[in-house]
Amino acid sequence: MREYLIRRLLFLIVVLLGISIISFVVINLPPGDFLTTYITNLEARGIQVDAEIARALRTRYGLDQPLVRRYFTWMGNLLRGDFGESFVYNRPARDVLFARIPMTALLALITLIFELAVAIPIGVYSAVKQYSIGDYIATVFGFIGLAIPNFLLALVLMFFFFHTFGVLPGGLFSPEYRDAAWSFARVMNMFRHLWVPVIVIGTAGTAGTIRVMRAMLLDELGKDYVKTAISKGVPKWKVIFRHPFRVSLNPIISTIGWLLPAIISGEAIVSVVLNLPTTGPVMLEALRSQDMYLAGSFVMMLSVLTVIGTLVSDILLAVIDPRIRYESKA
Amino acid sequence: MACEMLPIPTASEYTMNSMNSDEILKIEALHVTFSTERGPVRAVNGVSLSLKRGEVLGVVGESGCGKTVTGRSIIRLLSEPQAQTPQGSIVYRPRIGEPVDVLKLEQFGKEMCHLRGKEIAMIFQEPMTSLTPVYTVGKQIMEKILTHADVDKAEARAQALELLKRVGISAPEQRIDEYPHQMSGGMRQRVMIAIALACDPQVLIADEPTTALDVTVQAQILALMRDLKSNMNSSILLITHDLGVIGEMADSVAVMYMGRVVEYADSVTLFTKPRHPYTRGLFRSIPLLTKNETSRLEPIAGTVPEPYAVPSGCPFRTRCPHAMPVCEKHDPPPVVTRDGGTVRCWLYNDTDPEGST
Amino acid sequence: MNRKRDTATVEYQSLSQSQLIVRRFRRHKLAMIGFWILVAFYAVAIFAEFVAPMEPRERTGHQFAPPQKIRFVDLDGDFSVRPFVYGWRSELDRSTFQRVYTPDPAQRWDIRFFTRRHEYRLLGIIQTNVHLFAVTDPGGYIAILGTDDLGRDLFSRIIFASRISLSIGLIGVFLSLLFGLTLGSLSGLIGGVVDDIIQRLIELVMSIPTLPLWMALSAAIPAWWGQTERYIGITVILSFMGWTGIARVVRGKFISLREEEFVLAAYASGVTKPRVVVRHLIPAFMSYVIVHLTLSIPGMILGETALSFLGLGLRRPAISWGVLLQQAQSISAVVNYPWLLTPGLFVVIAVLCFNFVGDGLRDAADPYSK
Ligand SMILES: Nc1ncnc2c1ncn2[C@@H]1O[C@H](COP(=O)(O)OP(=O)(O)O)[C@@H](O)[C@H]1O
Ligand SMILES: [Mg+2]
Repeated sequence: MREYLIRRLLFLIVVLLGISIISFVVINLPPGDFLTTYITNLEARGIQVDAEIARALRTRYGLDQPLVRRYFTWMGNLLRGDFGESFVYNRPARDVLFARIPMTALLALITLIFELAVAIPIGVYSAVKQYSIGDYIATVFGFIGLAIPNFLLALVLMFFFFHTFGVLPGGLFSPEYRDAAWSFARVMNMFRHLWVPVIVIGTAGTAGTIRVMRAMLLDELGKDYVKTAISKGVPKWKVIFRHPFRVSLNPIISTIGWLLPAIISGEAIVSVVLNLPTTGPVMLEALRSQDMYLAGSFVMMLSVLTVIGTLVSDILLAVIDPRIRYESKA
Repeated sequence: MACEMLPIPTASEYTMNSMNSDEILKIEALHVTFSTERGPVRAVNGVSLSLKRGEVLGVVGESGCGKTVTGRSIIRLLSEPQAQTPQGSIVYRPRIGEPVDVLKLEQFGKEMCHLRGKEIAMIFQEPMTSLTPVYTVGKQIMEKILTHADVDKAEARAQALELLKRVGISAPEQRIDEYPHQMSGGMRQRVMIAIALACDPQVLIADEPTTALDVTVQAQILALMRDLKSNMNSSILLITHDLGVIGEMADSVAVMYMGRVVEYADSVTLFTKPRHPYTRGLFRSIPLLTKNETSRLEPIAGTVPEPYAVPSGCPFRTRCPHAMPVCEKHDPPPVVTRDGGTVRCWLYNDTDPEGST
Repeated sequence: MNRKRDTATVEYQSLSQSQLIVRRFRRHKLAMIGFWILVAFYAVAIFAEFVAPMEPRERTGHQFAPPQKIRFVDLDGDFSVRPFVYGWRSELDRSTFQRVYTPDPAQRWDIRFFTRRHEYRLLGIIQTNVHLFAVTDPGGYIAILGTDDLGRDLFSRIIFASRISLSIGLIGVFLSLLFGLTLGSLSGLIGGVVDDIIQRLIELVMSIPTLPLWMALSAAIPAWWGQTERYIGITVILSFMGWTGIARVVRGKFISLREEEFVLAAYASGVTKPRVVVRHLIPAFMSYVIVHLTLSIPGMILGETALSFLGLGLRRPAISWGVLLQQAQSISAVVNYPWLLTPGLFVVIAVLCFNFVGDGLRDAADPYSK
């Protein structure tokens, strides 16, 4: 187990390095260096940029150095918590980032729990009652859920919501709570708004997980150890939950590895449509105005979030699956 | 015209009435049909068997003749939407209470779950895949004890430990906390036997318990089963395709061909005086340790017919060296032999199948 | 001589194998339905000028007009065998400042089939003016799915948009195939350190949430790039994340097939390595690759739609389903002009069909793995 953990952590470092390189590439991809864009932008707004300040910024980000050197300068800054400057917000990118990231993480976590909580029972039902009407309904839902783009689902949902209730379900808070400080009432208010984005973001993942759960459990249900368990005289549903279900839970937990990137992806676009106070709208704005330090930081932090989530699910998997635990020991 | 309607006895009532007190399990006219894409498969086609208290009944036959399906029907282990409910009757006489027809019970009802495991236990052919990979073997033995006995976890664990000792696992205190993948096939089969023995069942169904194992391990497991047989009072239904195993273990033997019992006899009679041409073919085709090796092996001519197209009359006639015209038209009924066994073959039947009554 | 016989056997095997797959696929009802719908979709995309009743940039003069009803009964209750549409009469509602459209009985246009209207070149060569259906009246228009912000027929635009939306999936998948095949076979054939590096690279790419990276990369496409360059750029970006799955399949197959008998037999009979790869290995796993490709096309289509919807992918004047959906970005637009969502329906149908076909192919190629 310990060796497994160490190996996973080493791999995490490699992945984080890879992510940082990709993010750095993203930042430097647009033609012209960002400072020129920055200064042009400020001047367009009628703000004169002091040549002295420009030079200071140039050294701070190492813009006069070759690309590889610049990467290390950027990394060094990053490790000290300096994510660069957002010129749209005219604030350090870090401030903008950390105002939004926690909400994204929370939304992603809730969506993930929602997906698993809905998909696992339906998948189990579908497998145990294979070819029943319920199974067919779940299959149809699975196909459609995977085919409908989540932003379209958001739009359609809003359309029906408006036609039935006459109000729009956008945002995560009612107006009176939007800029209020955190309080119990504000949390409750958020949960009352949360179900729309959670359903919209979670539909595709739920559909996918139902299919995986069903296939996995069907596979396991046919195995010999199920016969052993039945022959012990254990009642049917106890057999199913203690044995094949428990075994098929392992691959389900490892699906978190691809559910999470999909949720973060979905959040990026759905939050734009639903106007959520998460990373999506800010990131889109940053990309549209080529505010690359901010945009690159977003790409990086979202990836880091995913990778850490995946790591947690892998560790969880090792804890519940004796085969992984022991193989790494051997 | 007061005509009293006498209730017609049902199949299971009939079986129960005809059951001797030393019989613990009696199967009558068992039929199991699978519906498959290519049509119905009659896997078991009228099997009748009876198992006496303390007896080892061997069931032999080539692979595919319906041995496993018969064994599984007894504890209702077939996935029933596809296999449908087996027809016929399987009457079991529990320790306390009246005999029951297990085919009349609900597959996952309370009574059936009580019979499974507590009264009738089963050992399977594939020890490698028959244990759940995510639990320790101790937990898997304890699960059965906790299901049937009113004991706490510590007591169940003590019993599991005792069982592991009984089936000859070395260092059981350590093994009890190991996972199946840490054990060899022979060891896992011992665990399977330990699970089966938990709660002292009256009947043990062993479906090819040694087939998947190495020869040396086979011998060890057989030795273990022999030990168990002499030390306990339960009856064993031993399913195998290996006449050698039968010779070592069984008191009496049922030979199966295409879903039916073609010959039944006590072990000694069967080995000294096999009657059915199929049984004789089996003996000629298998090297037996008791025989001298000079006689040449002869496989039975031809192949087992497709289960979708069962031949008319006697199902063995297509491969039988003694096939007669009558075999093609009529299925031979069982005939009681002088030694108290039965055989289904026209060679031993003097009645005229065409004659009335 | 020996060698010749050997390859002949393999060819025979793979032929009968693919025939088997086709037979099993045909039995898969949903997959066949999906397949024929896709055939129809692609045919419509190829013959868009013929199928569309209007030109994609032709304006009706009525902005955000709702879908016209195809009528058989006129406003006076008289029946006509030939279907027709009414033109719109619009008024400004003084209280809401919204345009209110009412059908105008004075403008009644018959719908004719295989009729003549504006000129176009079929397949880019044949000059003609025959349309599947259209209104022939010179001042007439038909917009059965309503119009957009510039008063253009949404139905015709959806048909033209299918060209980009449906082709981007195919081309993107083809590029993914090139990347994936190359990296996967390198990984599987060379093994060792190369395999390790490529495996880590795959895991890295797989663990990054696709859409944010797609967004960032497409935002970096220079604004001055033309329509075609942009199309190519977006396709490359979409395939940038898609190759990992194929590389994995290819690598896995290489490793398992390396040990299999017919490959060993080919080696033994003296066939050189590249020949073994081309003649024996690739046919053996092509079915898996095709299945995988079919199932990754939907991701590309959805990706393009999402990017264009956000304004980072293709842009006007290019027409794709995602570009058309851009109009539905504001909530008020969706509430007031719900027909702007209809391009999404086509996305859903196309994706569904590809999934059906992919599932059918998978079951047919490998009936034992569900
Ligand atoms: N689940 C099933 N579906 C269809 N046919 C089955 C199934 N299980 C067993 N059979 C058929 O029943 C027959 C008897 O099988 P089985 O009892 O396993 O034979 P044995 O144990 O004697 O080798 C075989 O012909 C087999 O094809
Ligand atoms: Mg068997």
